[in-house]
Amino acid sequence: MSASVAVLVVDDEPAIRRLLRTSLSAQGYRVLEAATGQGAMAILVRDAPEVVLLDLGLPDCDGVEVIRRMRASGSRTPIIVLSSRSDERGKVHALDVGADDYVTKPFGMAELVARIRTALRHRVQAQGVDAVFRMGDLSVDLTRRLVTVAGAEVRVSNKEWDILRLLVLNAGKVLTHGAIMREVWGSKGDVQYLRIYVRQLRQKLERNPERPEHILTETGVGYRLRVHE
Amino acid sequence: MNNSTPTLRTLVVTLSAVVLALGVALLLHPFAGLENVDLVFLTAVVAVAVAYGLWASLLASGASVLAYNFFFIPPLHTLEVSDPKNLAALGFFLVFAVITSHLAARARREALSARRRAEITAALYEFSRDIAGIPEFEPLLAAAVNGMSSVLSRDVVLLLPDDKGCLQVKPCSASEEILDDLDLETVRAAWSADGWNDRGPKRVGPRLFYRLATSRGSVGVIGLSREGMREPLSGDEEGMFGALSDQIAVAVERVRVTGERDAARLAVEEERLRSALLSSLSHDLKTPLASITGAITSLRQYADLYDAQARDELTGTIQDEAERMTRFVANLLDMTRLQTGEIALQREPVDIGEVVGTALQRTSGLLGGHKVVVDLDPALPMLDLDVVLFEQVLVNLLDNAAKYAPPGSTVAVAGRTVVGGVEVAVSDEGKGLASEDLTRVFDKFYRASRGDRQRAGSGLGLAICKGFVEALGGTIRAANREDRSGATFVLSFPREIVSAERKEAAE
Repeated sequence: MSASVAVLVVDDEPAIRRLLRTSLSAQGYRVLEAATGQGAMAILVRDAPEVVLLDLGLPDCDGVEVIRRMRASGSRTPIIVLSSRSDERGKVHALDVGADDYVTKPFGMAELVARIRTALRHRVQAQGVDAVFRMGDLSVDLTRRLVTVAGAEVRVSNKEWDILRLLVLNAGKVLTHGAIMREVWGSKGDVQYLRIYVRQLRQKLERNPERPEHILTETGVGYRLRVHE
Repeated sequence: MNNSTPTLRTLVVTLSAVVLALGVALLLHPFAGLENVDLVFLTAVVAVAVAYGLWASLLASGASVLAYNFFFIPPLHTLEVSDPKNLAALGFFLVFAVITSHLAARARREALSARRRAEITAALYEFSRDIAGIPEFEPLLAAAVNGMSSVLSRDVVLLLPDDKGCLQVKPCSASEEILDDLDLETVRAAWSADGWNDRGPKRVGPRLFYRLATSRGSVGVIGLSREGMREPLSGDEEGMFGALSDQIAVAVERVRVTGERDAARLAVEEERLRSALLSSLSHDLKTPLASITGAITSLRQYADLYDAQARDELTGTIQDEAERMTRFVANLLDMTRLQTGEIALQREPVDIGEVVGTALQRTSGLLGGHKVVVDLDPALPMLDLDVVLFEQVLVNLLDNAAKYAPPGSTVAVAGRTVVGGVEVAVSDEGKGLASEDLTRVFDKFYRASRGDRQRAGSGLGLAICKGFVEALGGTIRAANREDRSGATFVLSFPREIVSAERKEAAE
């Protein structure tokens, strides 16, 4: 499937570019490289890559600026931000201005490849989503509004359903607290409510709500519904 | 209090005393005779002298002479004196009254000055006791300025040299006004005066300035407002001022010397930390680098010699050691952020159970060999915390437990509501802590500085926990378990940071 998919790597560290070039090529991706924001914009126009891996600390401009310019130009190419731990605000900011996901440096290759696949899948499925989401013993049927765990139906409240449906529509992708609250409550969301609903959902869906396997917490950022990889 | 200048009140009382004496004399005159009348007046004069001093008593003397003459010496009811004998009596009375006035007034002055000396001694004693016990600079200066201005009833301005030696007005100074140019010139003159003895007032502008000095040198400059007519200080005030300013100078010097000694001790402590950091850096970075380099060179140069299992072991080593370095560098960064005060808290309602989950997720590799038990009170409220910092605290505590408790043992995370707020505890089944370590484990590099090299770790993790927990408004303490061997680290968060109550979501 990914035989000729072009991935643009934007990072000023040659070692990181070399690592990504080698490993992603081995995975069958075609790797394009840029070390600056300027270079990235040029390649975006010329080669139209299908996914962008973007480091936020670039020598010539803030990575967030690259995201802004891409989205302003109408590009919907998925952007995965390469960021560092303890910069949760930076991650949220990047997601707010239009990034699709992030991985935290230092990252494992499996994690990065999973993020790329998720981003590409959502790009492909932008219109038609599978009606039924399945992961482990959990299944969510979007058209029939049916949730089952190990075959047994689980009743969820309206708000719980709204949150779960949103997570399923974005399965595998991180959703910020802000994005979920805007979608489910409109403008006047409250992160405390969100946490309470997620806790209730976990109690209904997870084998061990304290060590969730489906609805994962991205500390300081938001939630992610785990998918098969 | 005025010494001998007449005021209206003095005048009235003095004249009343004379009138009273006149009344008594008129009553007594028929029985006691003329020769005793003057004693009645003399009593009034002495009383006035004791009460009001010389001028009042001279006035009383004059008034008495007139009254004595007018009412008792023939021809009566005139100020004329016909009999020369009576004239002599009047003259003697006047002389006697004036001498008595003098004597009584002097006695009074001495009594007053004795009382004043006693007051001064008491004030000085109190002042020295007050400022002797103050270890910090600013409170000391405030007490000094207050004490001096209340004793002398003048505004006091205190100037001390800053780090560069420039004199600065201390904010505790009573006067709010800015010193004008003339003042500044006076200050400079007082400051640059040479020698221990040249400490007299420099006065050009609206204030008097004196140099504060100890036998070791100048300490600063003190300025007094010039109140009305009392320009320079009186003799008493001068002595008082000298004693006060000497004490202030000595106290300022004492605090300064203590500060220098503390700075020296701090420098030693910093030096110790620096060397501990260096040894930690070299150990905690070099060891994993050595493993990684060794494993990688083996894999590249002798790839053919290794079977799949050996290769897996080598790459596993690389991954473990790289992760260890990652944790160490993260700790260093956290410590640096703590020390430079660069932690901007982002408080939001945090579900403790959720954070325990993510912390366990992040430490699942480290705790792979341990059993983990989570026991959280289901009614645990949310807390207004910075979730990233709080998670890091839990991760460091779990990391610590993984290091010190043997594989196969149980690591427990418990959370409960207590009277003062919420407690979260991480307990292990290791050997526990020596009692002298219970507080010191939170010191930076404490473990490393004791030469403990058995387990990988920098000695930063618990120090970061303490720093973060305190930044979040909580406390951390270490204890040994009572039910069995093992250590417990308890995080306590006060009720104030429990998130405001919201109704439990239910539809």
